[in-house]
Amino acid sequence: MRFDVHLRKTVQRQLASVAQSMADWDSHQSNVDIQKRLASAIRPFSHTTRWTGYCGGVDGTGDFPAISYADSFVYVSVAAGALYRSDPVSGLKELEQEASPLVEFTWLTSSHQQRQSALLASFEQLVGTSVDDVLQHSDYADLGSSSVEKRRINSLIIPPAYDAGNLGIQLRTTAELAVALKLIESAPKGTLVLTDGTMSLPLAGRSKQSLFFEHLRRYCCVRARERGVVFASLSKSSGLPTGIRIEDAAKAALGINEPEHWFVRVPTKQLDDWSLFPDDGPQVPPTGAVSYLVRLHRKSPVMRLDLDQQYWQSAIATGDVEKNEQKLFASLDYVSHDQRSYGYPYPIKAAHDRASLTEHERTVLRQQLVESAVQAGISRDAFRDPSQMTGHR
Amino acid sequence: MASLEQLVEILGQRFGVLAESSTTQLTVIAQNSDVAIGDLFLLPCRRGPDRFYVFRATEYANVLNRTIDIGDVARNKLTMPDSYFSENLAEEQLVELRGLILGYAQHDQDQDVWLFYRPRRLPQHLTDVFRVDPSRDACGHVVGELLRSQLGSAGLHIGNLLAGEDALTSVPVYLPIAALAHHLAVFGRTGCGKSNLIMTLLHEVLRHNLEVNRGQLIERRASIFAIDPHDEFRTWHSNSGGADGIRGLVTALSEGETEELAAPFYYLTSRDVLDGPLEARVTLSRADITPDDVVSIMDFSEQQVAFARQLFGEHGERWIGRLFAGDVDDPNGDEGGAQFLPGSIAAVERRMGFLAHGATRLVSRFDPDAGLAYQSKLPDILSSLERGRLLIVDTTLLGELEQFLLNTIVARTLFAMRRALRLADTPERLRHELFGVLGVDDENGRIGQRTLADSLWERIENDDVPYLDGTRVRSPDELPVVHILVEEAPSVLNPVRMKFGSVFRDISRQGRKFGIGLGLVSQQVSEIDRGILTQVNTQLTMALGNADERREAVRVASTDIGGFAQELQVLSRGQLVMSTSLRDVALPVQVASYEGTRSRHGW
Repeated sequence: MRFDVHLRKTVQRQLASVAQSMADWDSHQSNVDIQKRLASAIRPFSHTTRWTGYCGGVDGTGDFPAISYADSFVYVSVAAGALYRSDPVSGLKELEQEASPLVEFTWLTSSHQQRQSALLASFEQLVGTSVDDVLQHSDYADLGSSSVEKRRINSLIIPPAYDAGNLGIQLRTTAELAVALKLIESAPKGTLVLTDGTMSLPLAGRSKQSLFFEHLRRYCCVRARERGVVFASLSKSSGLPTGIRIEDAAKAALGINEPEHWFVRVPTKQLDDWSLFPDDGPQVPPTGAVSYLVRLHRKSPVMRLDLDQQYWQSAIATGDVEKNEQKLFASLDYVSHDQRSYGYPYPIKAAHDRASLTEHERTVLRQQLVESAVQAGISRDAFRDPSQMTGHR
Repeated sequence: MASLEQLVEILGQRFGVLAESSTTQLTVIAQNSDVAIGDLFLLPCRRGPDRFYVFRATEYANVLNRTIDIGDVARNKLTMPDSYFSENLAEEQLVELRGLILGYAQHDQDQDVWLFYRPRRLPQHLTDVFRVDPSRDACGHVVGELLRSQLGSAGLHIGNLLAGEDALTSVPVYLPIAALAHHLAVFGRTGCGKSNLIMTLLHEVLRHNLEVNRGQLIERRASIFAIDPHDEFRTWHSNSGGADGIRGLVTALSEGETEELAAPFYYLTSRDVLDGPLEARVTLSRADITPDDVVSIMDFSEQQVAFARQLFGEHGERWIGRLFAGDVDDPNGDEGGAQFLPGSIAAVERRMGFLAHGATRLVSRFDPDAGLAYQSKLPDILSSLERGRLLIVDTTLLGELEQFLLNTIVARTLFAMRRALRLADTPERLRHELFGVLGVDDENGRIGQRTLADSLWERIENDDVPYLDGTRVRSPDELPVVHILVEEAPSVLNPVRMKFGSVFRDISRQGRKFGIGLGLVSQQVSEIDRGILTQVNTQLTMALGNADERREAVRVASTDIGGFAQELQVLSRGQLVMSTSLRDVALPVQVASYEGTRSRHGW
């Protein structure tokens, strides 16, 4: 069918209505007082062309699911990391690592028992240690209530095999954090290990349910503290509520158009007695974390950096806070000067390039999976995909 | 014979992977490394029988793996202060090679050999690609095994297969000796190494004859008649402390070999003072010249040609003397014929002026009645060529026309002799045919080139010209292949000169069956008569600076060298593209330095 929906008058009326609601919400949320407070909290940091240190980047991806047949689904998770040291000639120079990119195939059926067993086995395979060990040594359960309940494997949510959205997030995030954990365990002291995303713990407020990657994320924080490594997550989106015009605040604070090289710690009611987010809004910073908003370059967006709160407390908020913060963002700035990803840390970009699957690679993986299954005795007919055959995809 | 697996193991580490492929071009993604246009790559493939595809890079580009366009990176580098390009372990900076398949070698199970085929097939998707590393002899041996049928194993060693900028020292490239009779062209701009190539050819022909003489090779001998306008082939670089030229080779022969391969001379010169043995003063007689010879080297009108031919018909070998003596009042004799205007007669006389007594160092007068006997080296030259010799002719003191005339006369007379030989089945018939092709017709009172004919017949009877085996007439196939090098080919072989016919056009068309081949040496391809170019079966194309000449060189090549078109501009000294109808594919070759060749063979 030809796509002509957008030409219909009823649709155009709906579009106008939605746009008006968006604008109303935006102006309704506008708060002059918050803007002023925000401007006063913004701090500049110097453009950093010299830095000595190590920085690792991590990213994950996959095919969720790669194939499905009958009541079964096969998910493919991929994650990669890259570790660099500062170098006077090339800026950053990659260090060889023992670990190669992680690739994990997870086969899930409608049987809860099989699913739980297979999913936990994949988690263990990715992390390289038992699920129970992670649960016991992570500080995730200590962040909320009912720590005893949360440390039980039965507290882990095992989505249905067809719930590609939830399974995809769990598998990809676990794979990504597993690579981060390997970097944390092997990188020199003081290394900045960056993951793509945030440190959010979606079920932190619940007493009896949890997600494995929440435990793993906090386990990474624990191990990073123990090893003296800086573990942080960088999200390309600030996630600020509409109505907050942070660029205007930065202009007012720094007195220049298109300001760059500035940061602001996201205020919290507990620490600062005010917040950027409404009470019913998202939890930023996430439980157990401290968040910053940062602008590394005028051409790149305002991004959000999450740090383990315990690390922040001991390493940033102690002593000369401003100096510590300057040092943190100087390192982030330095690793964001690669010509391929100016304004964004290249180690994450490098990891992303290695982990990402092209459509062609996904197709090849799917074909290999099908061929292996056929060789193992499953009928090829089981993999006939009507959507693909009819182009209905 | 080594299997596909064994050869792959020898090649070592994989260099890249085949990305896109079509019948016109392949694209290979490879690790970032120092590659060059012209580098050779092998692609083992098992789609069908075991095969190795031979790929030659014609262009390449630096690319980045899984990242934004490299142009964006360059823009960032330019506009972003203090930016850098992180050094990754691998896989970030890659090269993308594009090029052509030369062909593929397929393993023949029955014969257990690798046979080479033209590029009618493609390697399968994502085939591994191995680079032929010129610094590793083992790689060269693999190439040698796969390309054996294209490289040749005997004959004239032209040089070594070129892989990028370096030659594969273990992969020699040969031209069969028969190629000399199939006509050969050497194209290249000044300074590209043409002289060294000719020296290599001369050396190889002498080596070939030596091996035949020693019984190491059962094949025909070969002869080369080479005009040397710079007098460099005899002594080559010996005057500056380098290798001696043909002189060094000849003097290194044993006494018996000298007699068999070099006597009575290998070097002819227009100088009066000779430097050593086996050298002689080059002389022709007016009796050796026909009107067709002079028409082939300078402009004549139709009336002038007709007059000259009529004069030759009447006076035969004395026609030039008669012309200069003004004895042309009644050239028509009793039969009558066209009357020629005084202007036409004067014009012919003017054009022939370079042959007047005192104006030429090459041509002697001929008038037995006046005591001017036949003085010419032509019969000896022809005798030598028919016995398998190198003849170098120093023409430094000769005019350009004399040089062209000498080439033309030798070529025409030899061609005439071989035609006579082909037509004869008895000694009597041979004599009749020989005199006939030289214009002697006693029954009709035509003198033609009687003196030359007598002189040649005398040599045939004495076996100095080996046309007779007792009472049996030899076939031209039993005689040496004779190759006549035409330096500055466009001067003689341009379309204007061909207007009234040319012996070179005849030789280009028919010389092959008489065992006579032309060697055209030129900086220009476009100025040579197309009819002749189409008959040339081997082209050795060196660097050509002019785009039109490169296009022409590609057009006239016996095998497709379109893939080399751009490289013809950047070929280094001594590098060439060899295309020959005797092989399936064109090959890039590094001609060995003559200095090196001398020290290798040494005799």
